[in-house]
Amino acid sequence: MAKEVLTVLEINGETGETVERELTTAEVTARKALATQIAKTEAEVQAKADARKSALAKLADLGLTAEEIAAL
Amino acid sequence: MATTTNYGWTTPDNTAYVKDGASAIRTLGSSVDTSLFSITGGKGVGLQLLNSTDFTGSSGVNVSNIFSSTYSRYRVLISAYVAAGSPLLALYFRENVTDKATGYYGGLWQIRFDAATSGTGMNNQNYITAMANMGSSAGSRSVVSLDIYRSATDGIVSGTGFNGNTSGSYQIGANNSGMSNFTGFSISPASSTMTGNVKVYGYKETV
Repeated sequence: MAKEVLTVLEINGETGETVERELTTAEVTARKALATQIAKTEAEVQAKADARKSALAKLADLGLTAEEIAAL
Repeated sequence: MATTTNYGWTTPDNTAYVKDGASAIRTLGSSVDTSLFSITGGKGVGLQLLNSTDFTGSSGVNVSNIFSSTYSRYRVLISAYVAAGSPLLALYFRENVTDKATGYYGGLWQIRFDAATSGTGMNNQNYITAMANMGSSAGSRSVVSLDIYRSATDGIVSGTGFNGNTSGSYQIGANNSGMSNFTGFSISPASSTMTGNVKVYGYKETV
C-alpha cells in the first residue's frame, strides 16, 4: 500500500506565490494532536446534544407540549 | 440646461454650441467624479481583494504575509469541502510563518435545523473553529465568512464569523491577545483533505 502523502499549500499573500509541499514531521505530529483534540471536542458536543435530546423527551413525557418546551 | 435623470449632472442642450463642448465635458466629468467619490465613501474605499487561491486535496492551507499595517480589518471567505472525517476546520492565526498555537479565547454556537441538537457549542479551543461541511451530504459545500480585526492599540486580534450549510448555521467568535507579529492564518481539517477556495479582502477605510 502506497504511503499517504500529506501536503500543505503555502500562499505568500505579498507575492501571490503558491507552493505545495509535504508536511514536515512536526506538522504531521501537530496534525495528529489536532485530530485528537477535535475528536474530543466533537464527543463533548455530541454528549451535550444527546443530553439535551434526552431532557426534551423527558419533558414531553411529563406532558409538556412542544410549544411549552420551546418557551422554557 | 439639461440634466441627467438620477444625479442631476449637467449635460449640454441639443442646441448648445459645439465650441462649448470641452467645458461641458469637463463639467460633466467633475460631477461624475464628485458623485462617485461620495457614493463609495472615498477613493477606492471598501473591500480590496488581496488574494484568492484554489486548493485541491490539501491537508492544510497556510496564508502568510497577507496581514500588514496597510489594513486593520480583513474579511476571509473560505469555501471548503472536507473529503472525510470531521468537517471541522481549525483556523490558526500566524506570526511570520508560524501558527500561533495558544492564547485563543472564544467559542462556536450552532443552530441546527434538527432542533434536538441545536443550541450546542464549544469554547476555548487552542484555535478558532470553523465548519466546512458539517453533517451535510457528500459533495455539498458551505462558506465560512470571517471578519478579522487587529487593534493597533493593544495588538489583540479578533475574529468573528458565520458559517451556513445544510445542517444549520454556526456563529464563530474568538480572539488572541498574544499576537506579536500578525501576518496570516492557516486552515486545516482534523484529518483527511480539503478542496475549495480561500479569499482574503482588506478593508480600505480612508482615501
